[in-house]
Amino acid sequence: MDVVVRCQDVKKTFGTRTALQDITVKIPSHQVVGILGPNGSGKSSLFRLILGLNQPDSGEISVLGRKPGWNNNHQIAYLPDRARWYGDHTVEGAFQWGMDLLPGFDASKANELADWMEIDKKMRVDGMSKGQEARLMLIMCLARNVPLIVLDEPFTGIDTPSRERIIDALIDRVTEREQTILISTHEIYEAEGLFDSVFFMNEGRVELSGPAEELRAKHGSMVELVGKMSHGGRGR
Amino acid sequence: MTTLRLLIKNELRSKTRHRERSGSTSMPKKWITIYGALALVIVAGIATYLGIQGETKFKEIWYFNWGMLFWATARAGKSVQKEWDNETAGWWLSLPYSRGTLLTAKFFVNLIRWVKTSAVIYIALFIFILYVMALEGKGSEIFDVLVKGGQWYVLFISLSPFAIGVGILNWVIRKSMFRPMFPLLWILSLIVINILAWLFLTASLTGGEMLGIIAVSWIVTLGVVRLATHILDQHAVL
Repeated sequence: MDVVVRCQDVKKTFGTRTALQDITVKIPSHQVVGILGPNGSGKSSLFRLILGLNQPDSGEISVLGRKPGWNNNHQIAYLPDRARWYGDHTVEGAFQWGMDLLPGFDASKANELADWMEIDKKMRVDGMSKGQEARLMLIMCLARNVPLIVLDEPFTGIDTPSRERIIDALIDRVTEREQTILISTHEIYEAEGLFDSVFFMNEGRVELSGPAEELRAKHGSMVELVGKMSHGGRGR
Repeated sequence: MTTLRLLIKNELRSKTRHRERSGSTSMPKKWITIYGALALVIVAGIATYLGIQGETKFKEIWYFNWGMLFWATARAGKSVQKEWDNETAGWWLSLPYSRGTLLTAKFFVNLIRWVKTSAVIYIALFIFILYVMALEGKGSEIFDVLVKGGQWYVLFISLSPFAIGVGILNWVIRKSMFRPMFPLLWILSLIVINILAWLFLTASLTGGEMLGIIAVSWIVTLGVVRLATHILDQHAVL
């Protein structure tokens, strides 16, 4: 199995709060991987370490065979948690920004996705609904030819039609199987079918992981499993 | 085009300072025009009053520009802070460019904008002085005042890199694990800028001494930006 992210005893604290506790995981490549868990379980902290936005207090982490950091991020498309896009950009302006600053950004792919997701390319971001802005941000990630895409809560606060569009775009991308996609989400019911592998996190630890099919066969649906995990059960 | 130039180009293109929060309302353009016209009338009134009095100390009018260095510091800080306020910090910091490159781009954009702002203020101030001098009947001194003002502007623009660097460092610290140090550092920064103002305004410095102080301020600026880079790289809180 090829591994895209490897963590060995990774620990991260913010002041007195422990975000990650001795995490040891190997995330397989060329799959759609769900990172699931309740709020504060450490999903976003793990993603920030993958991007090198924060440094671990101890332990080792490698992403695509390299230490995380700015000089590895040309290989990663990242949708941050609770992010907004630049309000004064139009969609075309955002694509120009992508072409200027994001390695592997494919403008023709971005235009295709914008048409398909029904985004007006002349529209300014500060005039968009939250769903339209979320779709634009997803396009900025999906239009990149990079080996790893990291999407932190891409469905949060988005209306159902936009969410469906986003999931459809992801499914479309998944079928091409060119990339590894890491997704953290609370919208498990709708996104469940996307995942090849799943990692359940709770209180800064990986409580359970494995191929999605195996976990479903053993524990029932992902929704049930997350419910159990969130209430303290280990599900093992 | 190099990465730095592309970052500068895109940063210059961005006009948004702070994104409107949902539910907030912006000032209608009509009212901005009304307030602008009111300010212009007040300034014209002050200029007319000064001109009629006939005792204006023109050199001291230029001195008020020292206060603008504090403005440069605050503006530079805001250019970093807006990434967090507008929730774009994640995009900005995950770009595949070093923190040094990202902050250097912010530094140069601030400097370019600052020189532009200063030029506009210089022209506005010159028109103000011109009007007062015309009322006082001192038209023959206009060239001298223009040159003096120009020298003054070169001097304070030369010190603005330091003010901008300090502004960036302060706001990076504010967004890091060292946040408790922010008020202390901010007060210290204002004191240092005040000391610089005091030196240039009251001490009788020679041209060489002034150049020396400016050169030292540029070297310190390099250190300040490097420190901000290190903190943003290792200790930023997202």
